[in-house]
Amino acid sequence: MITIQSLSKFYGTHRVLHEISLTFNWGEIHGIVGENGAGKTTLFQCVAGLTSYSGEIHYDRGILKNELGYLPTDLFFFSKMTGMEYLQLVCNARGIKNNRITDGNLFDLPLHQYAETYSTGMKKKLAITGLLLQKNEVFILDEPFNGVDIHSNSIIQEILLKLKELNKIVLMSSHIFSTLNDACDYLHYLKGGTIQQSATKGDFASIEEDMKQDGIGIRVADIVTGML
Amino acid sequence: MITYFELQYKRLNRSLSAFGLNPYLGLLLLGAFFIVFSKLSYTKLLQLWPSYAPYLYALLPLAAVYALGNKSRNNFLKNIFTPKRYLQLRLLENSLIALPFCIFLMCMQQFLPSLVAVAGSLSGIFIQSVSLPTYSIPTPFSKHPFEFAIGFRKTYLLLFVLYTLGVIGMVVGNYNLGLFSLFCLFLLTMNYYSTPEPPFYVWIHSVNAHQFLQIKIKQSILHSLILVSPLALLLMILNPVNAYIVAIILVTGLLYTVTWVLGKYAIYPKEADLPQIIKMALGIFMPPLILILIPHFYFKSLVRLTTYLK
Repeated sequence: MITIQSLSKFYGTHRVLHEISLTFNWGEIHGIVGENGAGKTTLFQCVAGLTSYSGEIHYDRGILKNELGYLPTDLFFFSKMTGMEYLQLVCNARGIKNNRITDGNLFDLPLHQYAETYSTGMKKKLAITGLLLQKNEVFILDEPFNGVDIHSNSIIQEILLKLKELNKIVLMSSHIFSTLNDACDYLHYLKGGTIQQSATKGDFASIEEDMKQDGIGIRVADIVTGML
Repeated sequence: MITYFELQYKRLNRSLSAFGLNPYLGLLLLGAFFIVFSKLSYTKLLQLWPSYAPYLYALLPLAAVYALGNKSRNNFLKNIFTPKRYLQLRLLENSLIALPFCIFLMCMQQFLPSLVAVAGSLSGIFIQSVSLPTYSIPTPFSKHPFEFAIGFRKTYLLLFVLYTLGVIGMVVGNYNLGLFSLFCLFLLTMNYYSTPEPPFYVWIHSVNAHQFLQIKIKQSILHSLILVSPLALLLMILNPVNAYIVAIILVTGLLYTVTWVLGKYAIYPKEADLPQIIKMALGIFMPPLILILIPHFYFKSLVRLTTYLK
């Protein structure tokens, strides 16, 4: 179980997250939604321990970061590094002796090509494969469906359900509401650095409605007309 | 288009500031460096190939022009500028690169080669870097990526040249050339640790900072030895009387490498700034200093890495 208590994050004087409190139990998939810049990625980075914060994050099985697989939105792959070497690197980093990496190639990626030559979707699939090979207990997936094709989309959905079945904790974000509807047990709406609303499966429509309402106030048509 | 060049000027100033230099002083130093570099390389070329030296020097700006041929950069420029503006911009950009080389050649009374420098640079707009191949170059370091696996692929031609030089040195009885090649091999492999990786690649390790540094140091020593030992062994076997010199270079080279590894993490995740480069360079020019620098960098690295490793 992961318990977040009063988590706040400031960049200089700018408050990005304010007094966030959430609990994630084993075997649950939690979705975080919010507009661009709402603080979703910052929240993920705080949980992962990639950035400093104030407040408490408690994990009941030891050191969280050593059992956590994080899929960032902006993936970085070294130049002149093959897909296979990337997977080898992430396994080595966790001390996992895996001589059969190719067996875990569930997306049929060309692992002997340089990862930098991969398309956006292929890069995402490579990173997801790496997270699975690491045998993580907790997964943070920031926009896992971005840039992947329909076939891979369903594979990722299947992976999510399997992770739930294996009693893992999954925390994810997505701008595609339908993907969250299918996979998540809970949904949290992040706005202005705070959790505005949390909903359980079946009640996600209320959050979707709230988000749409928040967007209506923007005079998009007027602004675009002015620009053109 | 003016905005584009203003932006490039701002970016250069920001890079100099990030390096720890006042931008104006940095520009002055860059100018001074260019003059010294030109003087030295021109003189050297004159010694080696007196008739062709000015023309060979005139080809130097092509290297910089080639870097501007980066495919994604050019696609971006084509995307935001009209075809006519794009052509003007590339011609102007390449001319600016050729200009200092051209002025230097004119100062040397080499008017025709100075025209070659301009013409060569302008023709550089037709050079565009090739796409990456779908195959990968095999390396002996694939099981333990990433520094040496990537470094090997980026510098395999240079490695080949250094090994060839070393072998030539042995064939013609120039033992010092062999030793020089061995030393250069170390300088090259140290360079594999020059750029800090993004924090994600440190964070993924399930070890503490102390263990992380141990792994990095062990790997750097092992991988360096794999790369240099064939030449080192040849040098030792062919001239056993002087084998101790090879051993000294090996030990010094490995100590340099460890210093470089720790130097990188001592200011992580920032890139090496001027004070850090001075410290590391001092270690190279005054080897006994390494004994102070290694523990100094080690403890600083521990502090830096603890942010990402628990």
